[in-house]
Amino acid sequence: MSLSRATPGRLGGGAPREADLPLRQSWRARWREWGPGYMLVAPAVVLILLMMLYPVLQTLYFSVSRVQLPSFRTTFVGLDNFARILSSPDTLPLAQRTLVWVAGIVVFRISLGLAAALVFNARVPGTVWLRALVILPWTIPSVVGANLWRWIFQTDSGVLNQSLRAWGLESWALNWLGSPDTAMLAVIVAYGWAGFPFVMLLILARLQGVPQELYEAARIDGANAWQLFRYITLPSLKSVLVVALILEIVSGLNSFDTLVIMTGGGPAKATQIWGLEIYKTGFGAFNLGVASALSVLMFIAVLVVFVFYGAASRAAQRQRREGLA
Amino acid sequence: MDGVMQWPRRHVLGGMLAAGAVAASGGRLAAQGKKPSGTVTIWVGSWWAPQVPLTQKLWQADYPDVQLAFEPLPINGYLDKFSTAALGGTPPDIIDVDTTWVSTVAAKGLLQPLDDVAAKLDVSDISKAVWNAGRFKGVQYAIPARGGPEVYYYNKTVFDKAGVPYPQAGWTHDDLVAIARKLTIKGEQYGMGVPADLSDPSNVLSFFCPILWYFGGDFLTPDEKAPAINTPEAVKAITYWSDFYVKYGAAPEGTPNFSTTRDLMPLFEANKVGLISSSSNTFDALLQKPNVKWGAVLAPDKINRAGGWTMGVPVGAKNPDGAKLFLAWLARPEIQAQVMNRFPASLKARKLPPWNEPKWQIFVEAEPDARSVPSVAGWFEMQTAILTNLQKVLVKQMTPQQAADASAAEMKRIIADNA
Repeated sequence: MSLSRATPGRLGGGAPREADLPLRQSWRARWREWGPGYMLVAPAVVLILLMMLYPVLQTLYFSVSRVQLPSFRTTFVGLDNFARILSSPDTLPLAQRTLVWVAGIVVFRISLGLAAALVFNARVPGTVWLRALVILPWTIPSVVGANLWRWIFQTDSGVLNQSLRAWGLESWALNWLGSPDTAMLAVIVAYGWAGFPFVMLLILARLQGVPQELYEAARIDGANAWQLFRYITLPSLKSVLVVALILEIVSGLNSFDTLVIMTGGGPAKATQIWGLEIYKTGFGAFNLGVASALSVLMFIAVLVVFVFYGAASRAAQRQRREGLA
Repeated sequence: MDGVMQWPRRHVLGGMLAAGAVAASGGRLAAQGKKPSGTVTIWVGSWWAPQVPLTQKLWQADYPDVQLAFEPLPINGYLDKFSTAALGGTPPDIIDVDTTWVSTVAAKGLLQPLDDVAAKLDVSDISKAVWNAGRFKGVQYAIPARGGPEVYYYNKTVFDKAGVPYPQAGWTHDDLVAIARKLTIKGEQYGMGVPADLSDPSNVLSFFCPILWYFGGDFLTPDEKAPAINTPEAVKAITYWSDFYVKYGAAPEGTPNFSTTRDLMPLFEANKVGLISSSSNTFDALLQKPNVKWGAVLAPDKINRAGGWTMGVPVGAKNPDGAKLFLAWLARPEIQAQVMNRFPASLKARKLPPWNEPKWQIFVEAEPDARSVPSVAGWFEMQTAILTNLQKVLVKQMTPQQAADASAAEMKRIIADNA
């Protein structure tokens, strides 16, 4: 309706028709209301866009180029870098390992975070100090945490295997970081441990906003503990769980230091994931073209995740508004 | 138009170009006869840390106008840190690099040629193996400070527990296997520490290279234009190397993820590993552990890898004149003898205290038998490919022949990429 009113007058360049006036007044009114605000945030928006767009554009350009160092002289090679990646027999296993890693991280962190949040939400007396203690893994620098876990999982003299052997569980004392069968699990535990407190805090904050009246009413109706969880707690957490899920997927895709310190991607590439491959290709082999192509492929994957994140955020906002109403 | 264009790297490497401008002005200063000044930032391995105050004190006495800012860094990920900083345009003025890295970073143009510094030095005074490792395509890119012939360290407690005589000079690779097997008491102690972790590739090579060379194999053909890692001799070497773990179980269980510094040294010190192959780095570290009973012996069949560390000036260094002044200063035998806490590269420094003490003579004896890894473009990528495939042999994903063939295929690609 607005288009049919506005277009003829503007294209014609003549005097505004009477029908256009309310719209123009509307724009003026909007500008008066929002214009100063837009002008104030414009420098920051431009800066952020430049900071975000420039590296992305440069990576895109490098991904279709051969890059010579140290001059960063580029030669256009079309899709050669992508063809090389996609035709490599190492790419499919790399993608599979990355998926396993991300799925493992998500499951581990969300399960542990949810369990911890439920425990602390029960408000058991004397657990306030425990809550502070549980947050500790999140506060420890990742380099320290990774070295700590490397020491714990060390096969021959690590704390875990020494303890298992002392308890007579010799067969459980595995070659955690030295075997491709267990190395991925070990690094997932280490990385999951470092990040689960964040998920716990997210969930706990939401849990504490769930009206207690809902539980009281359900109990009067005869609901048991599982039913309370299934029909009240879990639906209340839906939005925050989706947000946590997406954030953890991104975190998993971007993870780097824990893997480098604990295994360096080994043994035999068993823990080499996409992000680590980008780094090794770029800064080990100094092949910035292929590294950029790998980055573009990962960027596309992350973009897909963010589309879901946007939808989840909107759903969460809507739910919060409805809750307030 | 040939499709080649210059990316506006001013935006990317503004800092690097600014540094280049500073470098250019420094060069002009030198040409005008003015003394270098300012601060020289030096990235070194963590073992340098105790020597920093003494080095700064001696330097200040000679050059009070130039400050030295040392940044000791851990060995794991050391090269990654440097390459990241260099490509980002914020390198130090001097980088201390392992001999196996020089050709890779020089080939990528990350180091400045140092022929002007080399021309002022008495090259005959510097360990030949380490000096040559600092050269790439006939140009000197790094000045050696630390020599690095490899020797074998044995833990006397482990030997005594197994009732095995200590190894003697003149022992062979057959002896090494026999001793490692005899020393092994599964779950309690292991005969041989076999490093295989990619985070510290130089120490993996320290054990693997002499075995490769002993069996008559090599990484590349003599003209360095094709891989030779899948020759029958090289495959025999890979088999011998991996059998310590795969066949005899004479290496610790965690071997595929073990590095010398992070894992094998602690196990050696805890009397869990009987033998490790390493440089003077380990010698000094063990001197600090009076509770560990140990000895050192020349490598079996007297073949060893020439390790060592050399110092280069990165492209984009902010104070190249000060950096070159420091390199020339550190090459002086009397200075090197005092400030180094690892076996010095200067032959004259080795005749000065404390390096003329009998305990260090084993490295003097090892030096003539030391060989270097190839100094070719893309070497670091090649060694990563080889070591990854060696790991696959350890975890039984590949046979030695398959690992050799896979390594050769990757090396062929890397050679073509860098041609």
